[in-house]
Amino acid sequence: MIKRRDFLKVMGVSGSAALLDACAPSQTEQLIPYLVSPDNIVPGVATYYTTQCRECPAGCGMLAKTREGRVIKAEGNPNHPVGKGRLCIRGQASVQSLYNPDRFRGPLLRDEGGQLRPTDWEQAEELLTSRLGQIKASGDQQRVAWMGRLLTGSMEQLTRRWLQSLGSERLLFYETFHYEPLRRATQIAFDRSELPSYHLQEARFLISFGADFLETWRSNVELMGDFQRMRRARSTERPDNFVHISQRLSLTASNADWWVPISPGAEVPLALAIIHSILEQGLAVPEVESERGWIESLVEPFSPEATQNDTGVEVSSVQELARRFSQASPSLALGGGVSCAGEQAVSLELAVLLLNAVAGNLGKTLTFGIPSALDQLATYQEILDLIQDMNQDKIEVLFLHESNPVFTLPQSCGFAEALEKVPLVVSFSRLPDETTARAHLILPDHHFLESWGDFSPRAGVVSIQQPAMQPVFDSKATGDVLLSVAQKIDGMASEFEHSNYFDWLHAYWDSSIRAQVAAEQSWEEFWPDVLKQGGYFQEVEPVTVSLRDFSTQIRLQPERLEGPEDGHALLVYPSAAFFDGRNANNSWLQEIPDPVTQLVWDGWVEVHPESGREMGLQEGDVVTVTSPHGSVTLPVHLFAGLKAGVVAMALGQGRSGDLRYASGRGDNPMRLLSPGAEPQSGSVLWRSVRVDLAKTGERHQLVSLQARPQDHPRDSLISQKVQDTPFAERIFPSQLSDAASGAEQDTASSHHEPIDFYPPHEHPDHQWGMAIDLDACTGCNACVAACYAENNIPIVGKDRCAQGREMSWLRIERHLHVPPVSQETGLVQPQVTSVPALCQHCHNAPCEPVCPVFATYHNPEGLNAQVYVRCVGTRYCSNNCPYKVRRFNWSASEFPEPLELQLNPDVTVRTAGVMEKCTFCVQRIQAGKNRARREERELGDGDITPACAQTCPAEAILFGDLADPNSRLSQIVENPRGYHLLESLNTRPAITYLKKLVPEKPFDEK
Amino acid sequence: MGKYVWTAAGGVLILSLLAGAVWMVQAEEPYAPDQPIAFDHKLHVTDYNIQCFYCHTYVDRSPFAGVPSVERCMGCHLIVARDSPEIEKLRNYQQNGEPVPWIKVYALPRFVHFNHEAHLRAEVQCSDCHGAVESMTKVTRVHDLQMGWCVDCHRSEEASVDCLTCHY
Repeated sequence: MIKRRDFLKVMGVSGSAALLDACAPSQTEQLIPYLVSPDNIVPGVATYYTTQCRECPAGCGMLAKTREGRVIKAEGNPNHPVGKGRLCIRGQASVQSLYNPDRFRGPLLRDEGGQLRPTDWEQAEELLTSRLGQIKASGDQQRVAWMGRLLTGSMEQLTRRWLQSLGSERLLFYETFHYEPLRRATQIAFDRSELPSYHLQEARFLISFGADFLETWRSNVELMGDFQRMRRARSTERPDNFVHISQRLSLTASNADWWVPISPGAEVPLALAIIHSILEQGLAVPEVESERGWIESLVEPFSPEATQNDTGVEVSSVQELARRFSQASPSLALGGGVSCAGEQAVSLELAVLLLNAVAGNLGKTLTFGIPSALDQLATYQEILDLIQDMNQDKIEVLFLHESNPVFTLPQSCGFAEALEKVPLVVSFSRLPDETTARAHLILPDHHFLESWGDFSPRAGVVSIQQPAMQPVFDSKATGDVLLSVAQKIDGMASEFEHSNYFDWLHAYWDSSIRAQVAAEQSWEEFWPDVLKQGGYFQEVEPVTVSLRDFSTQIRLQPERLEGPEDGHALLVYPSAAFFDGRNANNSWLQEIPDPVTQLVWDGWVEVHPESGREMGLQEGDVVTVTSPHGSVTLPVHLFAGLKAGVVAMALGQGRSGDLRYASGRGDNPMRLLSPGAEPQSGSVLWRSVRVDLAKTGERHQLVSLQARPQDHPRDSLISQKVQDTPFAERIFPSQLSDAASGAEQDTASSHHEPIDFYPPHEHPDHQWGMAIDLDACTGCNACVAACYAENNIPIVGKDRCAQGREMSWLRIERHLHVPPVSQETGLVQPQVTSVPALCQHCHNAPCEPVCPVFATYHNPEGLNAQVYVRCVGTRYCSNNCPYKVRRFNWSASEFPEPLELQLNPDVTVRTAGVMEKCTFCVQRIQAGKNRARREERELGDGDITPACAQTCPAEAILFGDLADPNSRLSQIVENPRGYHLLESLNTRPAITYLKKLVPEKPFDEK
Repeated sequence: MGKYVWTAAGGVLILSLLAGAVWMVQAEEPYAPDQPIAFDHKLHVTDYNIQCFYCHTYVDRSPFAGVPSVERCMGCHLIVARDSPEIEKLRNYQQNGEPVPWIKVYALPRFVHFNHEAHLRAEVQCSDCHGAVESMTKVTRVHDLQMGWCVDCHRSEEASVDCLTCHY
């Protein structure tokens, strides 16, 4: 038997021997020079390229940060009018779609046996050339069709002319989430077939009918910024100025002051009842006086009393809503989104436009004359026509560009079956998907960070897309493929002046943009400025519109749903992270929890707890959801943020194929939808079926990163009754000088006097700190994705998430409480507070004294430092941290090739057995100091911005120096709204949270 | 039983001391690896008076000093010393489109973020860390870059000795 003491002695000696060996210097590291030094790369120094995000059609401006020729981070372009320097979670994660390990390595051709085999570009283009050459020579018309993502500018021009040369006019821009009902409604009401522009920041009162503008609707980054500007300007008298009307408590609804959980189909009666009440109270603006006759007769049957049963909203609430909406001047009503696009989709949009008209919002918060790129989208009806032609063998070659219609169209429409009839299906997708699985030829396009391009999300904004790096794989820009093929086809080459897309783009910008907007400038003056700014931007003057009598065109019959009478209405909603499923194979987006449910790595069907009880369903029960058109099998998630009788599913999961992060998770709700198109606008009937739920008897573990699905109400800790708060204190970060004026109302009277046994730490130069405005934070998770990207945070997968071993340094603590619908008003006040939780960099950090090896300590600049090489992994610090923000590497992190190219070289990749946590982006602090010293100046306020604060679309995070009494931060932390997490523990965090403001009075109380 | 333990312990101790001794002997011999091309700093710096910055161009604007591109070497050697067998090697690298696989003489672990630019700004001389390279025919390591050595200098120069200065 070896005694313990002896064992330790032996181990001590051999341990030091091992240590000696480890210290022997490695002698074989190489130092590789460039063959030819590139002009624009200084090794070790980041180069930024202006470009644009193409993850969704919003088209936010982007800066791609590159190091040594590879993109390592995406940030918003502050010069760009769309996004104004911010990105959403999907934009932040776009670097992972660039380095996605499942991307096609090169072109593929389906062989006789039906297997996709790698080929080379020459052979692939040869095949295309011979096929198209035959079509061109035969002179047959309309044998070729193109269905792809939204294009504008040079690429649209090229594609259109290329197809025309092949005798086809069929260029269908297809996006899963389209706005056809709205465009049809503006056509009917104002004779303008275009989407309106919104000016949320001007609005004093906002009603949204199902428009989830904080996550996926239209241009979510831009709208979130505008929304926060609107919220910060709200009045003290009556601060609750945002009402959301929908079936599901989406992220947007959870940020509303009041939520109306409404029955499917009751939106139109409610909108008309509000108009009825506005007219009744004599609050309509004089501009609509001439139209009053038809409006009155239209809304006459929809008095608040008559609609009360359908809408569930009490008469007094409708009257109050009408009063406040029309008196706020200007106010704004938004309508649409897939969640309320049923048979009445166009009617709802018409009612909402009319609501804006009678409240006098036209030309103020709602303007026309600035067309959106989305106006160019093909309708679903046009796609149904294409399917018909495919089935009738009229289409010989079908091109599919960056879209996955087999997955994103209602499965019952038969697109997949029709594809079988097309002799040659060519896909330009970068990733294997349900559509490439049926394609004959795959010509993978570059990622937008690898290629030239341009996109104009709306009139007056033309963004340039610059390649920020060499292509990762053997892909080829689709524009180059088109031109290269055109060169080889008889009679086609002469129609195209350029043989490569870059020249085409140049020529387009020279002739169609510079010559139009800056004719006085030479190309050499104009072009560098475009590249520097990220595009060409100009103000476009809106036009005035006049309302037309549409009373004969608005459909007022109640909405019908197909399926069993006793079934549940099905709600399909866009996923905040995966959009329509295109981002599902992105590991960060799978691991960052869904903002509302907090579930990770899964698909589920949401059922109201009451319905669940009636059906005997529990969390995690696997059910078969059956509609008249198909069925899916999914686990149940009980979610109180639903209208009873409705079940909800996100689109995005349920990807098939061999995708390492996405495959085998959840199911695709598009299997359930009806194939028909809405007759007025030709759009998809997103809300069209009722479904049956049948238990399969199986169980499935759903992993939530929040301990409880619903929290108990907790008002005193994280929110503040808004009436207690003087106006100036709610302005953040502007108007700071007034911020401290209301000190006597300080809820900070509950602040504890600092008590310490030891003298306080000294911070001679800087004391870094942060303020987070919980009133602004929407819980969108953009900061979390930015943190993953900046700090080389590994993902751990579902199983380890279930063990609580996720590695995120920054998470959103979502406190959600959905009270029952108020009997007096019919409204719900959702109590949702999103608290970004990260290392608090405490002055009295509980983690520090328990570290046996001094790996964590308080540094002279107020940071709670973590030295990875010192850490021996006792995890005492994590056990002693009251905020659960320290993460332990239970295993070595894996970055499957080529994801390792994304790693930030300024941040150490941690090894197994080491503790890690938020550093306040210390690498950015060091870089900021270095930059100031290089420029021979003092470090200024705002020189350093951590990744989370940089991207926050709501501008809720402010970083700064507490040692500088004049910094914006020092003034903010004096705000009486400020508090610290778990203040009673005397940890004295460096992060100050500003309480969320919640309305105190019931909605209908004046 | 205790006796065997002590014998084992003694054995391990002697072995580790031996290992340590071998390592220390190794460490005492200055590290000067053979390079793929026998580049002579003395010839370039002392004899021909070429400044460090001419080849290590990034040193005042980047964390990395940088080694010259093959193109830069060939910029002179298209004309100068064309017949030397070492230049023949260089030419071959260029013609094959391969960079020269220099062996690092000074290497830092990945968890250390050293910045040349900052040290130059603080008027640290190249020779303070790299020794009299101008007199070396073959570059030899003069400091082992252990942390204590870094910290000694940071202390005497009153630079920051906070861990986060280099470790993050």
